[in-house]
This record gives sequence, structure tokens and C-alpha cells, in this order.
Amino acid sequence: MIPTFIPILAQNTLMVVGAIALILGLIKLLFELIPQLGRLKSDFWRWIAGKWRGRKLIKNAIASDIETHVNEVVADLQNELPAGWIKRASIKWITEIKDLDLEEGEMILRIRPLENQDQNFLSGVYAFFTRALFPKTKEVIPANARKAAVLRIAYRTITEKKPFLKQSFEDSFLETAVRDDPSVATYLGRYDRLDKKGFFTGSFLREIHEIATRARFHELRGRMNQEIDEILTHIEGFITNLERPIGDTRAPRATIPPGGWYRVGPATSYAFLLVARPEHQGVRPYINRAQERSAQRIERLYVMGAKEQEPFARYVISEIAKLPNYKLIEVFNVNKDYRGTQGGIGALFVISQTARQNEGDPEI
Amino acid sequence: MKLFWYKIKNFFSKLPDRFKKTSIKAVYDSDLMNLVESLGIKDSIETGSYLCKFCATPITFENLQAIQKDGGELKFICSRLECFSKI
Repeated sequence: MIPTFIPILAQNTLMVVGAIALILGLIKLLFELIPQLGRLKSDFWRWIAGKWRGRKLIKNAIASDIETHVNEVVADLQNELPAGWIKRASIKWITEIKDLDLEEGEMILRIRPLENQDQNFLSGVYAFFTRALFPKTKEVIPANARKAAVLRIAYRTITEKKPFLKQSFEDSFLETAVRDDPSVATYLGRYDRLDKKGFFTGSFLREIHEIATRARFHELRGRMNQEIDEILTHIEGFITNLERPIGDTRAPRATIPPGGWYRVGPATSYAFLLVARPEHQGVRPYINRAQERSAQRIERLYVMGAKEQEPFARYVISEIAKLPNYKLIEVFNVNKDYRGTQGGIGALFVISQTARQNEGDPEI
Repeated sequence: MKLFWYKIKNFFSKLPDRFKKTSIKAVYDSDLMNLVESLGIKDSIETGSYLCKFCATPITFENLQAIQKDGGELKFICSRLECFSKI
């Protein structure tokens, strides 16, 4: 005969196990959704590893620390870089593998004990961005331009989040890349200038990624360097005009010539629309300019909002989104706005299919 | 209003991305021997038959920093930062 307390005990044990599993699941979900909580996890593993120094514990501590630091950065970049580029980083420990299990271009990185954690972090960040930037167009974009982009993003990230590693990154990764290929230094300087006004991640990376996607099986692929150079030159010219005072004004409309607002290239055409000064006639002038670009058959419209007037910029974006000519693709954050102030907002519109059909869209 | 719906749509369309991960394959120092054995390259590393993809230094257990599949073959990168930063 089964004592009566056993079914009750079994039932209670199941409830307790279920509750623990549910709580652990919720904690895991919270860690997944809020990267900032990862620091708690990584501190916990570090503490445990420091106490017992088990190999598995040390591995957990290292992986958790690298993941946390990379993911803290990634959380900000997710809203800045093109959608889908940046996913959370995860260290996948490999103890054995068959040659065939490795995909082309894939890498296994050696991670050394905790004492080398700064070096592990630098290598991890660099490996992460090398893998994450320009998904599917890596082979199309020239190595020097792509490498400089990876270095620029990694450098900015490290400078902001781990300033004590800035020097180390400069001395190792930057110095080596520049020594190896001096053209990387030229790109770095030019990217830096764009980044200070929000045009590097805002429009430049999006534009060359789009061109590379279209040029993949096109003769333009052989002229990617030239195309990148021309886009850089255009945006640099735009910034120069933006910074140039005319009389006592620095208003973009006064300083930028009409043709400077857009570029028509062999693969894409894009235009800029800068949004600020809500006191001047409200949203109508911006709508008119967006319609002008559509009439000019400018395919991609970048709306860049000043940080100071972000709510108004959002309003303008929502009003342009109502136009049938343009389709809203993305609303993104920028590191700095076009005035150089930290923060800001941007949006990318593309000419809608209906507008294309009405005007007969030429394909490259 | 359109921007509001865009934000709602955007939030839900990006939600799966929050769970997607870019995995960095890594081997811990003490598992390295096991890994090269599983790849069947332990002897070649011991005899220094493999060279760094970038500087052509013979690869040893001490200086091996990364293994990469390149052009269908396994390539090795040594621990000099100059080489690693070329990946």
C-alpha cells in the first residue's frame, strides 16, 4: 500500500520544479531582451569562477564577459545600422569539429584565459563586426573600404564603451591595417568626417550596401571602388557646404547648391532632406521638397532630423510616409546629427512601385 | 498615424531579431589540442607544416590564434595582432 503522503509529495515536487523552470526561463528571457542585465550575469560567472576556478566556470565567465560587452554596444547599434545587420553576439565554444562542419569564411577564434580578457575582448569585437557588417555583400565591396568601415565602427564603439582599450586598439588593429594598406587610412579619415555629421551609418553604409546588392551580378561590380569614392566625394561636398557660412547664415538652403542635395549614380539615386526649424512654415516645405525629389525620380530619400527638433522630424517623417510616391523603409538613429550634435534621427524612403510604374523604371 | 503603425509593425518585425544571434565560434585554450585532433591536423601542427596565412610563420600550439575556412581549405592565423587584424 502506498503511503498517502507520496502522491502529495510528488505533486508538490513537480510544482516546485515547474515553478523553478518557469522562473529560470523568465530570467533568461529578461537577459535576452535587456542586454544591460548581461553585466549581472557576467559578474556572477566571474565571481563563481574566481571562487572555484573550474575550467567550465572560467569558460562561462570569459564567454559571458565578452558577450555582455559586445552586446551592450550592439544594443545601441541595432537602431543605427541597417535593419538585420546587427544581432546579439554569442560565443559558441567548440571542443571538436569536422572540417566539413565549417562554412566557407567561418573562423574559430582561440580564447585565452581570463588574464588576457582585454585582448580577448578586442579580438571578439573585431571578429564580430567583421562578420556582421555587409551581410551577403562582403565579397562585392572592396576589401580596403569594407575593412575601414569595420575598423571605424569598432573604433568608435571601443572609444565610447571601453576608453581604456582605445590606445591598445589604435596600436594594434588600426596601426596594422594602415601599415598593411595605406588606402585604409584615407578611408578612415573620410569615414570619420561623415560619422561626425551622421552620414556614415545614416546614408553612406546603406547606400553602398544597396549598390553592392544590385551590382553583384553586374559589370558595376568591377567599379565598386570608383562608385564608393564618388559617393564619399558627394557627401563630403554636401558637408562642406553645410558647414560653410554665407553672410550671417548657415541655413542649408542658402549654402548648398540645388544640385548638391542629390546624386544620381549608375545603380542608385539618392537625395537628402534635412529637417529642423519647425517655426518656419511647418511641415509643408518638407513635403514639397520630397515631392520634388519624387518628380525628379530620385529613388532613395534620406530624411535627416536635427537632434534639437527630433519630435518635429518624426512628424515630418510621418507626413512624408503618407505620400503615395515614397515608401518608408526604415527609421533609424544616428550617432550624431547633421549639425554634429550627439543623437538624432533619420529615415529612408524609397520611391514606391506605383510611382516607378507610372514613370517607367529603368533597371540597371 | 502611419508612423505609429510603422513603429508597431517595426517593433514586432524586429522582435525575432532580438533573439537571433551572431555566433562567434571559439575554442578555449585548454580545448585546443582536442579541437586540432578532431580536425586531424595535430601531427601537422606538431611538425610545423602549416604556415600563417598572412606572415608565413610556422604555426605551433603556442602561436595558433584562429582557424579559418578559406577557399575550401583550412587556413591558420598566428597570434601576432598584425596577422589577426587582417582577417
